[in-house]
Amino acid sequence: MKISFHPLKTVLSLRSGLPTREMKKGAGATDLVHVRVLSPASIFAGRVVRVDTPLVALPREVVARHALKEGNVVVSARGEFVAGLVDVNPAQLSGGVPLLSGPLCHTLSVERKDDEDVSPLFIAWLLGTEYARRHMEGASRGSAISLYNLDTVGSLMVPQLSIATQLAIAEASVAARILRETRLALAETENESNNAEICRLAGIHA
Amino acid sequence: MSNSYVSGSIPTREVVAYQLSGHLESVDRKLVAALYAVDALWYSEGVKKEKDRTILFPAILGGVSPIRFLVHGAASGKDMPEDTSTKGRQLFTNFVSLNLEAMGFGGDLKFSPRDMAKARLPLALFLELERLARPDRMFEEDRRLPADIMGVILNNGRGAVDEEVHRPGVELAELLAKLCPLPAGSGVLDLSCGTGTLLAKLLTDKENIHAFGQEKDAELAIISWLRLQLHPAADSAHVQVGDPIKYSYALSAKSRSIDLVLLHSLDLITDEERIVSVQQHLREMEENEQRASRTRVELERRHDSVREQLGSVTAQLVAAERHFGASANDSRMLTSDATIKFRKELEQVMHAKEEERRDLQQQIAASERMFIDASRARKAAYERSKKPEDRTSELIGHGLSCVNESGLVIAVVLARNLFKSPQVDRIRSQAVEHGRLDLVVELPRGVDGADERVAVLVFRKGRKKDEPILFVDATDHEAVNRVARPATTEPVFGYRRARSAVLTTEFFAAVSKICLDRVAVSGVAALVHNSVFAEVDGRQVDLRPRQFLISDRLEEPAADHQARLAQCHQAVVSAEAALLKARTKLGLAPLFTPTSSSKPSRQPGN
Repeated sequence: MKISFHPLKTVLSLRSGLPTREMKKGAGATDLVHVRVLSPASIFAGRVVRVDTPLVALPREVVARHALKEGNVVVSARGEFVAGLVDVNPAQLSGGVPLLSGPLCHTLSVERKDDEDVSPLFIAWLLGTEYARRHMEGASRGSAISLYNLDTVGSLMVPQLSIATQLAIAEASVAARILRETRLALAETENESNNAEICRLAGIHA
Repeated sequence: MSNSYVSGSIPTREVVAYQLSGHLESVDRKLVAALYAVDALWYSEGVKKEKDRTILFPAILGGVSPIRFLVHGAASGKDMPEDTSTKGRQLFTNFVSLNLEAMGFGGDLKFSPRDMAKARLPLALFLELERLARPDRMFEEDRRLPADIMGVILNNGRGAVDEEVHRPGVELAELLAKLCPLPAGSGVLDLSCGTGTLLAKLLTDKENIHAFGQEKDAELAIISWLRLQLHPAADSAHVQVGDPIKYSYALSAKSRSIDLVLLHSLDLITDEERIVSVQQHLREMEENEQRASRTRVELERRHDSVREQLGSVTAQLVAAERHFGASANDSRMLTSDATIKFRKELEQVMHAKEEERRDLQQQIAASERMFIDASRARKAAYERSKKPEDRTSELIGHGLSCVNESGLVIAVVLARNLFKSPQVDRIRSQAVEHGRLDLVVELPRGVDGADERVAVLVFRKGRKKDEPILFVDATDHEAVNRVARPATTEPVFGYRRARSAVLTTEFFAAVSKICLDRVAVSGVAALVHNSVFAEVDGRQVDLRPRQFLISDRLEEPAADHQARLAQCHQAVVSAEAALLKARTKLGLAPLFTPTSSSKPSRQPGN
């Protein structure tokens, strides 16, 4: 079976995160909204996890431009290349306030293009693979710190698969991640129980 | 979107902070804040009259507000930003010199402005300040706003003054504020008040508080005084310049009742610096002693040599006298010029040597004194280096002597004070002998920019000795946050978080809740009785909270362990099944043999 490939930028929309200057400039705005700004540090194992950064007040129009939505994929714009899916309502991740993609991120919005359905779960999985990481390393700019601009990210070739296959792949990747986490939890709990018993034997009490 | 976050509910303070952020990056924030405060005081003269104070303004203002005065000069094109800065500095200096008495800066401590020849104050900044936060409008909207705006100018965003001078961050200040309820009429003293941030935070939502501050830096003390003057909750505001122990409020504690003393950033680095300086002093004293010893030995050697020479000359003279006596009949000899000359020469040499010997004797005596002094100084320096000055416990003791009979002392100290002798011995004596230690909170690394862990200690006078002490270990942020969000289901496994993501408002709110509830929380807080601190097997128990919590976990019932293991085991079985199913859908072979779904055969604890 021959699989065709398309550049990522043709199957979804790419947008840079909130520029630093937008966070600094007043520009006379008085209609402000409290938000939290996402950095790649909040991307873990292919997901955007809880964001505890301080609240920032920003003009409403800036928030409207950069607010994340469920189903968006966020990738890092510099440093280690990571990608994470916003798999819940972003307000749940940020304590009830809008969550914005920060200056160190790019946002990928999965939209219907060329009459093809694309699963955000599939894209998030693809961007977390060694294949994507190598592509980004090869196409990135910068010597000390790798910089991934929108062109670099958008030039990744995406296999054109049926939506059912995409969802099955995504399901397998999520299941593998959950298995990894549960096995880690089991190992940690076993270690803790073991230590507790040994301590009791050794008579270690405060 | 929650209504509480939409525009309109965002406080004016934050709107101003956002708007000014671009203007405050390259200006002298202390000067701008001071000028804004003077401006606000100028406006407040017409607004309030409940504070008993007389504030004088420089005559140069000529009936306009200070900021308007600077704006006039800059807007007319006469003043460049550098000139505005110079004028602003002069204005501030004049204001301070006019009000030194009201500020109470007595003694030999005088305010001298910093050299800011190249500083600039752009017109745009003042125009923006006037547009957004003109004090008269701020007073009308909320009496607390001008003091808040001053805080914004000082500490908003990058380059905050509090960051430079190791003063508490907003979150820690809020935690401390929650730990100390202050009824109306209370007195609060901050022994290192800095820009007054902590005092201002404590005064939030309070009324009629008597605020006192002490600060070594004269300029910061003035800024703190201005900030407290603007705060409507401060019934009176007094700030002293100088060392908190040397210029002590304790001396006047009877006339000024103080209910709460705050010790923050107890010279977080100065303790280290002091030890280094004492050790340096010891090295210098040892060198001085060695130098004095070498000089004395050298002088004694020279003295011995001169004495030998003198003895030799004396012997020559005696021999010559004997020779002259033996040949007294020889008139030629007696009258011989050569003989007389020889005798005179010998006498001269003898006198010279005698003088030299006397000089050397004096020098030896002086060097002896110098050696004794150097030796004494070396011994004193050695004693000091053995026991470096412990300012933390000294200041805590000082704070306790300042507060009234039911007063609180809240100290933010480096966590090493909880276990490192001799500091811990002194703090423990407050706990055991006096029963004053009430609360110990160990916070994570990175609070307020400190490289080490920081702890908050609360001492309360007049508490019963048998009351338990609450120990809170807040170093594990996940455990603390679980107390705040017990229903959280998000799995978090082994990834690191940045400090900014750990030390959040939510985290500090959870810590303060634990402290105020005063109940034991598994893995986080424990109530400990004084009897625990009795000496066990010659070993003193230190004050680290973690040791009192470990026992909790060790004594966790074996059944709990078993249940947790079974739960994790079941989760693995389910996850494996899900993965196998997903792979089957893709037509892939199983990766592994599934784990048995039965419970683990081994029973923990058996």
